[in-house]
Amino acid sequence: MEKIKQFFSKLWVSIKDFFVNFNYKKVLKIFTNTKVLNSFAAIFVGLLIGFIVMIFVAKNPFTGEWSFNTALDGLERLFGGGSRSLKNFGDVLFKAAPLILVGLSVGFAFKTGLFNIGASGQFMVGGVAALYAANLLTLPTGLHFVVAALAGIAAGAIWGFVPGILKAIYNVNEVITTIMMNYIAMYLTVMMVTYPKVYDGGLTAINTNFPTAHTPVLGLDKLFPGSNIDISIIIAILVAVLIWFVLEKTTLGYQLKAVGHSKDASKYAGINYKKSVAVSMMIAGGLAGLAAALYYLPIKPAYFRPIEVISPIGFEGISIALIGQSHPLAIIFSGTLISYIKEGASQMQLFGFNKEITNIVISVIIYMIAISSYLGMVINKRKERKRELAKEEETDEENKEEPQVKGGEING
Amino acid sequence: MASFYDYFSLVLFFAIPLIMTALGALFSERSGVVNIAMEGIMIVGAFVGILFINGKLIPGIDSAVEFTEAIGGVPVYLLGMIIAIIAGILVSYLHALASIKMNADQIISATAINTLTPALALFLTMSLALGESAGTDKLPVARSLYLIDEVPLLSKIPFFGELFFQNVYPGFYVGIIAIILTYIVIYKTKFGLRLRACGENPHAADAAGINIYKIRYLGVLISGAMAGASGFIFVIGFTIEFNASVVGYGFLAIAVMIFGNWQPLKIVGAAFLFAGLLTLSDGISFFPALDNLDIPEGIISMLPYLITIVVLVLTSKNSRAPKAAGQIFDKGER
Repeated sequence: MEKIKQFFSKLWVSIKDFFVNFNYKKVLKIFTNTKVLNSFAAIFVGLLIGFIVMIFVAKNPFTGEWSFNTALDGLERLFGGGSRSLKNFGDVLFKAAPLILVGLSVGFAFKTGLFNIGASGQFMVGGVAALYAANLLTLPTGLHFVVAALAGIAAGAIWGFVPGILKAIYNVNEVITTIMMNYIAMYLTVMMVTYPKVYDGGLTAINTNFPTAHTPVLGLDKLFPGSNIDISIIIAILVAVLIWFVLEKTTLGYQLKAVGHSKDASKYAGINYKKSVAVSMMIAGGLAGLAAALYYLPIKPAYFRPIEVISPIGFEGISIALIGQSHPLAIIFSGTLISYIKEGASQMQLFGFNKEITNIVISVIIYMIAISSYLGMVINKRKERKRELAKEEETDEENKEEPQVKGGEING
Repeated sequence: MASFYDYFSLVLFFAIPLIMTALGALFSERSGVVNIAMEGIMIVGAFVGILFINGKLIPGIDSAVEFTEAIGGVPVYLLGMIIAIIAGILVSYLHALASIKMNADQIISATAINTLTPALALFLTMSLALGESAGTDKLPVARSLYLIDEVPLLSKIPFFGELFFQNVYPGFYVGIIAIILTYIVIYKTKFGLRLRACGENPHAADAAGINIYKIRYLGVLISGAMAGASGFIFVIGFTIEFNASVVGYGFLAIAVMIFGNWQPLKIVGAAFLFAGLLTLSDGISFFPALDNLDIPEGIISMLPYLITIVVLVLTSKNSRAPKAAGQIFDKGER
């Protein structure tokens, strides 16, 4: 209890500190950080290459002939589709929430030196657990949502805990166990979806009529009229801040990161390696589970169908974590960006472009981020060489004069 | 006996592409580069190879049937595989360039490839109307054209003839050859020794005069070639429509490689065990005793993954990953 109290007072102090000592120079510094600049450059290159691909396949929807204007129209939608209206932007935020949380799940694991390919599986079991709680329990509005979300978190956490504990105790590679857990989750959820008490044969999905358990909207639909927005985006942002706080300001976060940097050094420093790995995977799983709850509980239903396909969201989560460079606060941005591009891409279909362009753009962004530090180095080297050349020229000019003087001295 | 035979041939079909991909990943990891892009490279291989055998890459030929009538089913298949291999090498070069030359995080560049390839395949199929009709994102695969009914003479051998030389795809033999070659290359050649040295202790290898960068490039490119070929073999063997997916087989192959403890023979064994369990839900009718237990199908489908985890837990003490896998080689650091 004392610990929890301490935790929250610490959290409060750092939030207060942020607002009281708010300094625009500090914020500006964040945005001119090389890492952040690299990410922005990568995003720019990704969109540029997406545009080039679009130019190649652009066809006038009426005549079927190649047309540069269609490519421009498509680009306009890709860039601006997500912010054409308040409704569009509300939908972008609505769809961003689960993406941010899955990104956090993968990113958190990255920060602690683990690779969580299993966010998909954690997401699927989390979704089924949340939907079960939503369908089978009778609780007052609001509380019911909280309980259903907690059920999702718990299921995801269990799904993450298994690979974590196996890595901690038996040193089993978490990459392989999380892949296996994805498949196990897929078959398990397919079996669980068709359970008669929750299954809706008409929808061929889990029943979505559970009025007391839907994600609360809290009037946000007034801000973004016509959109599906609810408080999930606020939850996602708060959770991201919380994760950042845990990683940067608490002993637990320090330990987890230390284990991520070096297993042996952290052991030497007296950190409980096994506990850290298990806890870290459990938190990662819980985040993916919460993402699923926010994905399946809204009033605008997302259907959970019994199909034997691993949810692709876990792999999107890897992309989002990488674009955000695993920084919890940057992941808020990268998750929203992906959601924004997706919204634009879905509107691009009006002009005959396939929406897969999103993933092409995302993959280019990731690749550029991967090689950005090298490119930065090359550019810096070039600059240095230019500077050196300029210097040499200067010194050459000086040298021309010097030998004459020196020569004169010697001769004299 | 017949029941066992049916089951075993099913397992063989599943195991071959799995083994090839896992061995491909092995080449890369043994050289010190983690390659989780196998899934993406398999998709590229399958995509380009199928485009080729469907005649989309050659002017004047419109369909797979026309193409096979012109030069025969097996040659078309083999040419398609070569194209798939080339495509696989080209894509893996992206990974090699980023992770070896540009010191990128190997997981990040591989993730980029895994994201790019299915999207690009779907995008091109839709935009250029490469499928059977405009508006579909699936490529037709006329797989029966490439089936070898029976190999003359050899198919007359009792038991083995029926198992190995009747109703097989040419890819089966390519797979067997690849397995044997991999073993020889890794354990019996100078290149194999250098490859292993690069993955274990690159600085020592460097001091001994080995060009680490060259060996690593070769390791990754070989893995790309094998993934390209196995993607092609896998898709032609198991589907009549290709929708830019190899259903996670590339990731499973990496799991099999870890399961096989980074050793070729153990990988083959692990792949057979895994494929045997994977086909259990299809093959359970061959085992009346098991079938009568009435285990739900979902549970049987889960078994391969559950058993893999259990086996890993039991054998984890002996796990030996290449020491330098995933680490960037920096000449100056020592």
